[in-house]
Amino acid sequence: MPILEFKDVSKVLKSGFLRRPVYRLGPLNLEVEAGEIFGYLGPNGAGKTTSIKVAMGILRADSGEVRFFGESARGAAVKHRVGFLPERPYFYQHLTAFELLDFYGELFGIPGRKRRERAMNLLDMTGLAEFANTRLAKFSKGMLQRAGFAQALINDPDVVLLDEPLSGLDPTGRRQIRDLILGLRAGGKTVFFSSHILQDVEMICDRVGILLGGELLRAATMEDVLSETLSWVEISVEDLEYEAIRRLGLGRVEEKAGKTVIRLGPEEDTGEAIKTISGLGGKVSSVVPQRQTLEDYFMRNVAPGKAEEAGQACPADPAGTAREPALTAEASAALSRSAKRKRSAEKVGMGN
Amino acid sequence: MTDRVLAIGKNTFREAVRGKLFAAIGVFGVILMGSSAIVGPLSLGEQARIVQDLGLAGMSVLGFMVAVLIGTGIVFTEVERRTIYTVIAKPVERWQFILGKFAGLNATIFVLVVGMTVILLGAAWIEIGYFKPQLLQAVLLTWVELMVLTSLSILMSVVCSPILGAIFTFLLYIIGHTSGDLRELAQHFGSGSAKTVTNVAYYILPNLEYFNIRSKVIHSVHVDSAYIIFACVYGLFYCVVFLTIAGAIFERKEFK
Repeated sequence: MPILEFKDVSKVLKSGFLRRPVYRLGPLNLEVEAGEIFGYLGPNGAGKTTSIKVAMGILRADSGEVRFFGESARGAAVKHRVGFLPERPYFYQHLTAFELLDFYGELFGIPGRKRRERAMNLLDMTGLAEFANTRLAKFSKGMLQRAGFAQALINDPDVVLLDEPLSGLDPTGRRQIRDLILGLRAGGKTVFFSSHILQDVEMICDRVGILLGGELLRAATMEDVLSETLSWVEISVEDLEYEAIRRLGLGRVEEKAGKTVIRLGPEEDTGEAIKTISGLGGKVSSVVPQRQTLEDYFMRNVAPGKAEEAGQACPADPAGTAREPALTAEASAALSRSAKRKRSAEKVGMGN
Repeated sequence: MTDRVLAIGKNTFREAVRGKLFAAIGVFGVILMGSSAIVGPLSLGEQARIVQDLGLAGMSVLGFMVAVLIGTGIVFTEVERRTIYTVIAKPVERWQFILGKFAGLNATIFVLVVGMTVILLGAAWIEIGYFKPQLLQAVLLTWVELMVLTSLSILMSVVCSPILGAIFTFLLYIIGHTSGDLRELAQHFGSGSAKTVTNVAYYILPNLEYFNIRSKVIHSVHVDSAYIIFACVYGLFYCVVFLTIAGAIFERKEFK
């Protein structure tokens, strides 16, 4: 049984006096399994925040249903086992960090002593213990994000939904939250989080779902996603002239830190290339297979406009193959819808 | 279930008393009550009446200011600042949220009323030389009236912006205190439609004059306890009506 399930969930957001539809989500079908870290990706306006809001009852689905642990998410009872951190969390500025956690603990009906203990533990865990009695009005964005993370865990939930938990954090803060998320998985919890920071997603997620134009483009394990991406091999060569190597016609040749580097595409035979180099008296000092990142995958499949920039910024692509127009017709159509919806979403002040 | 209402109420109370507005109104209240002791002696032979009149009227006006200025924004700002997201995501029913807000704001007004009552009783003691328990009857009904206005403000906070809410609440406050007189006027001099309008206003909207026994208390006219009970029940009935409407509307709300 999935821990979290979106079943044919659709939502149309309307705006203005005439209630014109400005944004459409779904129908969305997605399942999150127990104990996994699920990364929820997509460009701005894709529908990540909208779908999370539907799951948490902040918005209501027009059709379909969200289920936690096989039960409808609409009931208040199921929320005892769910934690939630909204995007750009705003909390009661008049409260101190401790009072905030204490308040949310009360909403879960946690008894006094246990609630206070848990609040202190969470403040400690998120590095806010020394600010326990500081009012949130004085907190920085990163500190608020950590306080938000702490409140999402006050009920010791089985599943945690985090909307952009890594945004606004400095590298240390991001590392801390990443470690916390990994710690949750180690403790048997399920984590569902949306993010724009693809390196972090790649580092910690078991599975990812990519949302585009309100529709789920892909949901797969990280391994599956990355195994499809282009890879290449970087061979560093010594004792051979740059021009001599270039004349061999092996991939893309570049000078890098005083060495000549050949980048071979996945279709080229690395062994054959090494033999050829050795045959000419060259010395191969290193052979490093390179794998493309989630960001490369994302840029190729989701954001073609940015792929040009990414291609230029990534000389590792041997023959420009990574810049091939890998966008499917489906993705292309969804992207076009996404762009329209993003403009509409900005008008109604939506997140994501 | 009650725990959640109390938790939201406690948080609302905390927010209100930590805010500058409440502090300002509180200080103003103390000054107003204190000034009655100064103004009293200037009114020849009427010191006791002035002290009581000023004290009770001040309590009503300042309580009304808290109910309107804080109440009409109490739900609206939660939505505007998105603090509502994390509350809705917890096992909290929406009606519990509305009820918690009502409880918190009422507790705030209660503190204000208690503080001003202590000063009023003290000032009255000095002027008339003995403790006048009838003053507490007037204070009780003032507080019930403020409860009705608080529930009305919360309803306004669910359906419109604080500015519009404050305007509507103020208008309903005026109508609530004059609907009886307006109806009398319309019966004698008004057209058919004026009679209908004033009748509708009289029978549907709360008649806030029921809570005004100030002049009777000041002039030591006996007020029957049955009347006090009736006025309390009448006020609570309107609180239930306003909060039920607020809860029903809030239940259907979505937060973009």
